[in-house]
Amino acid sequence: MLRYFTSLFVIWGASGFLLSQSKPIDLQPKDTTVYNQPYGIRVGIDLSRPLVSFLQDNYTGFEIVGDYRLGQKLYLAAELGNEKKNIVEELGGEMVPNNGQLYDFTVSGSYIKLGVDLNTYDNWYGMNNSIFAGGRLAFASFNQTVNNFRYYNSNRYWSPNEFALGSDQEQEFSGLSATWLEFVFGTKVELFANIYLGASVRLGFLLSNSEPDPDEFKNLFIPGFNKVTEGSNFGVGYNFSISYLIPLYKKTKKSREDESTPAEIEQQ
Amino acid sequence: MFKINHLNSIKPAKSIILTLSIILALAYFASCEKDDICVDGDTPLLVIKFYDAEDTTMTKEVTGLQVNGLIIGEDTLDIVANTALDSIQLPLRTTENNTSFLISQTLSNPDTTLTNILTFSYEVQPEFISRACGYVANYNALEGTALRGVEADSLWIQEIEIEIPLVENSNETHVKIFH
Repeated sequence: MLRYFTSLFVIWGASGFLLSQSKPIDLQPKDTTVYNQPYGIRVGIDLSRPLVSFLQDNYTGFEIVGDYRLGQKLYLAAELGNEKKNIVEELGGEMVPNNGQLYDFTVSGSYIKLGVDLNTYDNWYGMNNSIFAGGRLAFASFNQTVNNFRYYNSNRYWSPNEFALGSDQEQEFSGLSATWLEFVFGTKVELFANIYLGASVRLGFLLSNSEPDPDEFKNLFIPGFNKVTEGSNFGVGYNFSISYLIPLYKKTKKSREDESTPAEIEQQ
Repeated sequence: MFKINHLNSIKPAKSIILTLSIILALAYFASCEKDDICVDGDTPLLVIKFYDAEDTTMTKEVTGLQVNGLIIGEDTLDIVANTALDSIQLPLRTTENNTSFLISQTLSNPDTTLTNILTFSYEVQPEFISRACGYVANYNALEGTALRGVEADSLWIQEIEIEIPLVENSNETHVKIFH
């Protein structure tokens, strides 16, 4: 990469030198204003998780987001979070008795996601927004507790109004873990100086999933990954973040002319 | 002089709004789930087949077969629906480790109804099936006994043979009753 750019500059320099003798006097000199883009660490929190925690009784969670700008387009990015969710599954479909409740379980655990974001957005002068695509490797460690369950039974003879209770003793499955790859698509917009509002959607692909004995329970929800669908390794997620950029240094934005080939320059 | 790039020609604010709305739309659709319908399993029924006590390889119909669930000392429930006279599928209680039934046959000549009490004891074992179905019950260590319903009635059930002591599905014959 570096070698490529170096040779590009050599060619550009050489062609510039050759052309310099026949160059006409420039009556309208180009704007030579240089914009220095800020580089630094951006840290923030996800807004959706505390909001959902506030609005729903069955969920608590938070997520810390962060990225570090490596280059013109490349960012190192990470998310760190903790989620606790209580889920009550009811029987779907038509043949639902008065109370179709099947089982009630709670998932709690933490996750970390590490990866890169690539900004595909070409900012105007002075802007620092981004529309990015990225990838993450994510890991979650969690517990599942079945709070109670009822036996699914299509025969309603002995308990016509609800499914018969199987157990209301808590049954905990601890030390569970999962690893997945995540594709991220999102945007970050600078609202005020150094304050960014971000949004992203995520498509996860489960690589490994340590489950309890399948006759006892399965991993139905993974913190950070969300719902685990049967017969599929995909999961979806999102976040809406607000973050603050801690500027460390500034670097000049490479203009598009620098990236074009000498042939293009000659044509102008 | 000015090189106009087509990417730059889109107003930045517009494209950011576009991206944001795509994200919102995706997040909205991702939250829609298909209705999970349970098709993967069910709590099994106990399958009983009636055989001839003399020729034990032959099935024998129970004339006027009628089975009611019985909670001993408390209640007699509705008739358990059956489609054949030489076999029946009985639901077992999952909240207890035994279930009793009143099982009667009606003879036409002379016109008498003989009622016996059939009791099965077992261990209930939960099994997780899937997200949509949750848990179903399996029955293990199945045992069966037959008693006279009333003192006057004779015991028309001669022998109960447990074929499969682990009840996991309703496709096999778990119990043979000889009469």
